[in-house]
Amino acid sequence: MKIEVTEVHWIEQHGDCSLRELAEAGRLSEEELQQLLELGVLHPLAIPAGLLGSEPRFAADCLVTMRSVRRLREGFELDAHGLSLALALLERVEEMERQLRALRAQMPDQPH
Amino acid sequence: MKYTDYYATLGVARDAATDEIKKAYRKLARQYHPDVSKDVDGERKFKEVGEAWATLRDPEKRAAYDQLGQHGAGEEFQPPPDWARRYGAGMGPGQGAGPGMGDGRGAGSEGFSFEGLDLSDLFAELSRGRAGGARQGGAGSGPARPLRGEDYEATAQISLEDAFNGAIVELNLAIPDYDAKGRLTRSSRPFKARIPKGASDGQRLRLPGKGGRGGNGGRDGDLYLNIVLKPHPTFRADGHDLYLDLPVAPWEAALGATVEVPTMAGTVRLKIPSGTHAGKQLRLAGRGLPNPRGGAGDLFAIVHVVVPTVLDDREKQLFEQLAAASTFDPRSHFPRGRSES
Repeated sequence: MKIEVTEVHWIEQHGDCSLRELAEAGRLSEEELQQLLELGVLHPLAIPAGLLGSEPRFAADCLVTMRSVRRLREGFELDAHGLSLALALLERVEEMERQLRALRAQMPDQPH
Repeated sequence: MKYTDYYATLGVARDAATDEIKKAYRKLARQYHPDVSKDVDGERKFKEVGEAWATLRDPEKRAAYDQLGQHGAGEEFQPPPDWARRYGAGMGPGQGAGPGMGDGRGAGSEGFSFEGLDLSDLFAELSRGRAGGARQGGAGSGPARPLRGEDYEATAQISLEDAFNGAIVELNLAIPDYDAKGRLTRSSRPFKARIPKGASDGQRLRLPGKGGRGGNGGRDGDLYLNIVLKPHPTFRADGHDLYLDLPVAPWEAALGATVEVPTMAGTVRLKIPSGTHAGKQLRLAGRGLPNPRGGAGDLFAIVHVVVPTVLDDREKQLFEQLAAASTFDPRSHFPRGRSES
């Protein structure tokens, strides 16, 4: 069987996505997503001057955040406030893990 | 079809109250949540407890599950003859729900076949069937609403060489799908993905449309690929930067030297300045991993001053001469105080 090679996309370079795409990825209603926006969990991209008033767009890596949102919501039935707290803590953990990886890379003879 | 004991998965009795099941689920979900757990098998276990909870939390699904009887975990079994008809499972998209769909006669029948399915697919299908009945089957209902396919995640372990040069990785995913007759089946879907050069550890890549198939004209789901770099015997990666331990002799550190250093693209010559101390990082610009945003990371050679463990007579004599002649005090910054008596 001949298997075709699939091209992959860098998430951060895959352009942007709409509110609806994010809602689909997180299995949220647009109202629930709007709440997360108001709580600062997601930030829309700046709208170019010529396109003021158009639909907000988001960096494509917000889709990854929405996968976490979905797991947290389905796993723990968190509301928007619980989600925003859990995501903020996860972000801090991720940043600390990134710093730890960087320090370990610079230290000799450490298990990785 | 293989049996999965959802009660055992959650560690509860078969007659446990929903609240008790919920408590057990929450505890396990917190333990194995992929964003929290360090368990390498955490994602799979999280999915298992999630599937068990999704079925046992819903009274109708729980009743349907209980009607399957109790079997050993992993044991092959067939649902009772009228099970699919009673509980409305087993329709593909567009087949509608309610009386008259899958007749439950088992594999090879005109209706629904349980062959190749696993239990989670069956109960996911039960949900789709119930929702589908409202959406598409009944008289007076509106047109079928497009259903977006499921997104999936997989991990691709690649070598540092693959990250540097780019690579094609082969993946084999068991994704539920509908066959030509609209029946749900679970089969291995092999495919190859081209990882462009410059992937870094922990990066996520997206393969649009490679997840589960959409229904009613809905778009297919996506596959997210988590990149994990295998440990390398020489280099350690931090993002697109690489680190390398560079052992140097004491006289090379003191006097300076030009040494050969391995890089991902071959050996290069590196000048060690005189007076280089242990721990100093010598930067080889652009010798790290290529960055998809342009350019490349750097390679840092971390200096380790290595002292010979065995000295011959001549070497010992020279070190003794150096010790006698040198005024260098590496501990000059220590506080001077009264000696302990």
